[in-house]
Amino acid sequence: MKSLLWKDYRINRLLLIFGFVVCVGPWVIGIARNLLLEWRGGEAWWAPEFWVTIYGISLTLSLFTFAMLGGNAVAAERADRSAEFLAYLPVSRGAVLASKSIIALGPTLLIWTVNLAALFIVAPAITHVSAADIVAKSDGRESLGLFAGLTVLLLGSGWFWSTVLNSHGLATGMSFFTLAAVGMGFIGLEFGCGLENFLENWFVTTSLLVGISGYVGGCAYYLRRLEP
Amino acid sequence: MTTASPAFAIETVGLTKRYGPKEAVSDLTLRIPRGSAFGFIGPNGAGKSTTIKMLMGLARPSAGEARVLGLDAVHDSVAVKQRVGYVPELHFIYRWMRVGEVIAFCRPLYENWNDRFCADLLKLFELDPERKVKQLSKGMVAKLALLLAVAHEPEVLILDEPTSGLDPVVREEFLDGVLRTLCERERTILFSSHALSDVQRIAETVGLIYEGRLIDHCRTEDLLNGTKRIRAVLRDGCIPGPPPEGTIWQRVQQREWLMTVRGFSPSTLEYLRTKYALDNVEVIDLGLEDVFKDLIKGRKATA
Repeated sequence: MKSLLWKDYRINRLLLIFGFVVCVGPWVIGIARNLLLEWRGGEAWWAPEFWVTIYGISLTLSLFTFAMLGGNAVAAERADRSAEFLAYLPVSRGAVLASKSIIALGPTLLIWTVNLAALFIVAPAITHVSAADIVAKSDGRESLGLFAGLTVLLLGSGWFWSTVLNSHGLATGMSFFTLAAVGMGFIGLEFGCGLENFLENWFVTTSLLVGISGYVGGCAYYLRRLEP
Repeated sequence: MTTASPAFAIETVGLTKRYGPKEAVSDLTLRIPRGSAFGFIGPNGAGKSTTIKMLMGLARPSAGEARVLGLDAVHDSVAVKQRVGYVPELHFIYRWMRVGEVIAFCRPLYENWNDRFCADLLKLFELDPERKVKQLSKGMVAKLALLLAVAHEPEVLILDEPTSGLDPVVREEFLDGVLRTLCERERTILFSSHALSDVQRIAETVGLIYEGRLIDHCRTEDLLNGTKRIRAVLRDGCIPGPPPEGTIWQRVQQREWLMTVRGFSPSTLEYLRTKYALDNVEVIDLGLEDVFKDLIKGRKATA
């Protein structure tokens, strides 16, 4: 298992570096800008909105990471046919899947942990405003739900397409296409069928369901499929 | 479910693989005893690679069963791969890894990995552990594949066209490696190749597969000793009729009548001399390549 994890980490190393940069980058830039302002005697913007804005930028950029983590999972090895080499080795499909899941889900959880820690632990300590107030003041509750839904949908659908397709680029693209299809479907239902607030009420739940189904369906398909 | 006899390293019973309406492998029954070297030969698309994929659990049989060392090739594929070394025709080893990293990656996956043997092979094949796989020549990658296939001391070694695309020098080195492996430890080898001189060199028994069916399976020595080409020159006016029993291929050109006979014996010549007016008759020894070609040509002519 350790060697599978090492292999999957190496395959996704560039992506993990990208994910780290887009997750931490906005925080570093935002905080550095404020510290620089204070150092020059200016007035830094440490208001709750600052924290929610940076968290929003960080998670919005990280959506690409989530889609690519899902899309790369299986298809990256199919694209260069190294999946065939892996298939010759005495490794169970379950172990392969577990290693890929850890490499895809681990960084996703880490990105979320960084952002939630900044929002709920660091921000209250600096602004002396409670975490609940920070979230309430900035429509944070809605955005938290929306980001959670988008994360699960992009990661889960990327994962599904990755198990089905032979190109990781296409699998990543298809995860965004799935997001677009769900969104268009909702807009169609809301405006076409006159269902009021349908998008607002059901988008997050549907995204979570689509994402989780994509992950579970992808795993089931992968376990049944024989490489190549 | 049939139980495989422990005497057989590889056993297939009625093994069939269909791709849509086409049968790539048809009702293949094959038994390869432990410790023997088996040459699996056939033209392109005959079903050799498909059979090997089913043995390695890389393709599901449509019917029948494949057992390796008594284990079901599909359901116990992880256990099978622990005890089998496989060198495919095309090598898809992670190109971004260094040779040493490939070895370090594969090593913990096998229970019986032999570090000393692996180090010996690295030296023998002159593989630099620091070089990336993508920097290796085709021959070096083939050698690395062979090293990975044998370093865990498998009981069965399956080689699927391992020397295709290799230059004669590298091919020779590769075969030396295989032969060394074979000689040092008693292993079962299934060797599939178009280079029939290689098969003849290694295999004790051969199986000929054509259009998904096993059309011959015998000892290489018996096949070569019992298959001869006869060149008969007919006298003027003599018309060739039924050939001797066991003729697998024949060609008549003016007065010259060439035929390849399986199960050749002195009675074959007697038959020809009694039945036809001959000016001359000659018996020619054949190599495995000629026997194979004549068998296929004969099959095609019959079809």
